[in-house]
Amino acid sequence: MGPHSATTDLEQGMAFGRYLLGAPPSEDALRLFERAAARLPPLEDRETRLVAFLLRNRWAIGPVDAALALIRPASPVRGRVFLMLAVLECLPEYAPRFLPATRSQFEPLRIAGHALRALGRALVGMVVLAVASRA
Amino acid sequence: MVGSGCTGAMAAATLVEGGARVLMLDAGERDDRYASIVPPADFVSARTSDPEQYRYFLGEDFEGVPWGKVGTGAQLTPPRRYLVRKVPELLPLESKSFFPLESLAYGGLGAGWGLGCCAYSDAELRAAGLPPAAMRAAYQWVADRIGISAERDDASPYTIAHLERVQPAIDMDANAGRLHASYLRLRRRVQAAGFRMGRTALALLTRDVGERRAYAYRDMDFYDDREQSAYRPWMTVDELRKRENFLYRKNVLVTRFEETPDAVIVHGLDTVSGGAVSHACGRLVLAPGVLSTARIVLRSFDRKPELPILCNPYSYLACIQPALLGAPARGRRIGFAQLSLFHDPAESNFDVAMGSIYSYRSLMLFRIVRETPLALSDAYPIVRYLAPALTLVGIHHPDAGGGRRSLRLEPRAASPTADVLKADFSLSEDGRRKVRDRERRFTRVLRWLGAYRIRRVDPGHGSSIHYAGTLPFDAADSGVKPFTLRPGGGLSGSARVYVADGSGFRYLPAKGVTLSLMANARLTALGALRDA
Repeated sequence: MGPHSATTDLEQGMAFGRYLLGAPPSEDALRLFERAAARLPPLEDRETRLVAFLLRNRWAIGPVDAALALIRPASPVRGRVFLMLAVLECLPEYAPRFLPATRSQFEPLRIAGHALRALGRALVGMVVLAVASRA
Repeated sequence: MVGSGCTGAMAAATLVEGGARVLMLDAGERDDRYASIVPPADFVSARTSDPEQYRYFLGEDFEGVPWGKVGTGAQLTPPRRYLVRKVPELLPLESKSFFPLESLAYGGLGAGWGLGCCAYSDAELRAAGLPPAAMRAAYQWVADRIGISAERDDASPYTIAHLERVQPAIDMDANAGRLHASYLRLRRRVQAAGFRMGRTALALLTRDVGERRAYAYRDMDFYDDREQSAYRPWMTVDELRKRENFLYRKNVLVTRFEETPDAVIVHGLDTVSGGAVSHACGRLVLAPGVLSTARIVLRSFDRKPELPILCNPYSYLACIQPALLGAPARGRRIGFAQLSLFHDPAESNFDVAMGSIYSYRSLMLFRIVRETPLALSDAYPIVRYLAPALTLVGIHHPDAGGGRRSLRLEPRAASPTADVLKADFSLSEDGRRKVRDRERRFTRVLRWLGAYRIRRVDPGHGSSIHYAGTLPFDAADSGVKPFTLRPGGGLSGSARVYVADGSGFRYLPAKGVTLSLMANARLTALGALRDA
C-alpha cells in the first residue's frame, strides 16, 4: 500500500483518472490503479506534499504534469499519472480512446489544440510548481 | 551441449542426427504465467473486448509499465520477460558503457528473436573467419529446418542470397507498403545514394509446415507463439527430446569445465537449489551465448586475461509518414520488420549497414506517451494520431573492433558464481564518425521515401543484442594460441571442447547475425562429430 492509506491511492486514482479522461474513471480502473500503485516505491516527502497539493487543487494537475514532463520527466508524481494512463489503456471500455479511429478533417486542428494547450499548461505549471514547493 | 538457444539447438540437432548421444545442460527458464492467459484473439479484438488484458499488456506484477531509462530489454513485453529471469543474479555483469541482453530461458534469446534472416556475403564470411562454401551449405540446412519467408528483390543479395527454398514473403501493412512503393518509384535515385531496399527475410512461415501454422496476422507477435509460425529454438529442442539419443537437463548453470585425457568434466550450479552439479562427457560443445561462453572459458583456466568483444553499434530512428497521420487501424497488422534498407555504397556486399523497418502497431501507446515532453492528457491523443504514421528504423552498423573493448572476470564473493563479468566498450573516433555519417544518410533517404525523422534513440552499446569475437578464430590455425578458436570451432589448446556460438567471429557484419550463428553452430557440430 505504500505510505498512503488505500483511500489516498483511491483519491489519486480518481483525480488522475478524471484529469486524463475528463470524466470520472470506472470502478475497474480505480481498482486496477490501486493494485498497481501498491507496487510503487513510497513517495518522498517533497512528492507526497506535491500530490496532496494536486488533490486539493485538481485544476493544477494538468499544468504540473506538463511542467514535470519538461523539467523532471522521471518524477514519481508524473509516474503515478502515467500509471493511471497505462491502466486506462488496458481496459476495453477506454480502448477506443487509444486505438486509431476514422480520420476527421478537423483532427489536425484538434491535435494542434492539444499541442498548444500542453505548451500553455507547461508555462502555468512552472509557476504552480514553484508555489507548491514553497507551500 | 550447453545452452538451448539458436546455436545450441542447431548444434544439438546436427549431433543427434549424426548419431551422437547428446546431453543438453540448460538453465531452462520458461514462461509459466502468460501462455495460458494470452487469448487467441488478434490485437485489436483483445484490446476492445478482453477485460483481463492488463494481465499480459501490463503484466501480473505490472512489470510491463516502464519506469526508468529506456535500455536494453525495455522492449520485452510481460509474456517475454521470462527471457531475462534470474539473469541479474546468475549472470552478473558490471559496466558503465556496455548494456547487453542475456538470457537463461529455454530457447535462449531466440525465444524473443525478431526473426530477421541474413546470409553473409563471401567477403563478410572470410572477414569473420568462416569458410564460405561450407557456410553456404549450412545456411540452406538451417533455412530448411526453421522455414524462411522472403522475396527475390533488391534486398535479397543481402538476405537470402543463394538460398533456394524459401516461402513467399508476408503481406505488408499500409505503413511498409507505402514506403516500399516510394522506393520502387525512386529506386534509381535511392540506389545512386548507395542504398537498396527490399522485403525482410523472416524465420516466419507463410505456409503450414507440419504442426506449425502459416502466419495469421494476429499481430500478437510480441506476446505469444500460439501458431508457432515464428521459429523459436525451443521447437527444435522439443523435437530432439523425443529422440532416444538426446537428454535434456534443466536448472543447470554451467560454470566451468576440466579436461582430462579421456573426458571433460563439466561443473555447474543447480539454479533452484544453488547446489553444485557435475557431468562427465566425451566432448563438450559450448553454446550458452558469447558472454556466458567467455565466463565459462575464463573460469576454466588459471590465467584470466581480458577478452575482446564485438557488438554492432545500434540506434533507432523514429520517423513519421505524414500521409498516414490519424489513419484508422485497417488491413494487415504485423509486428515484425517488414522492410530492410541496406547501405552499401561500394556495392561490394561488405561493410554494409542495415536498417530494419517496423510499424508501431501492436505495442501500447503508453510506451511512447511516456517519452513525450508533454502533459500526459495532451500527449496521448497526439500519439494516437501519430501512431499509424510511425515508422521505426533500427540501424545496425558493422563492427570490426577498434576503440576500447574488454571483458574481464573479477572475484565477487556475493555472486553465486563468486565472480562478476566486467565490460568496457567504446568505438574509435573513426567508428563514431562512420556511425554518425551513416545515420545522416539513412535519414536523408528515408526523407526521400516520405518518412521524416522525428527522434533518434541511442539505447547504448550492447543493445543490438549481437555479440561476438571474444575467442576469435586463430587466423594462423596454430591450434594452441590461448583463448582463440581453431577453424571449425575447437577451443585452442583443447582436444575435446568446442564453441558453437559467435565467440569466434573476427568481424561482425551489420546484417542480422542469428542465421549465421546457427549455420556456424552446425559447422562446429559437424567438426565435433568428425573428431569423435
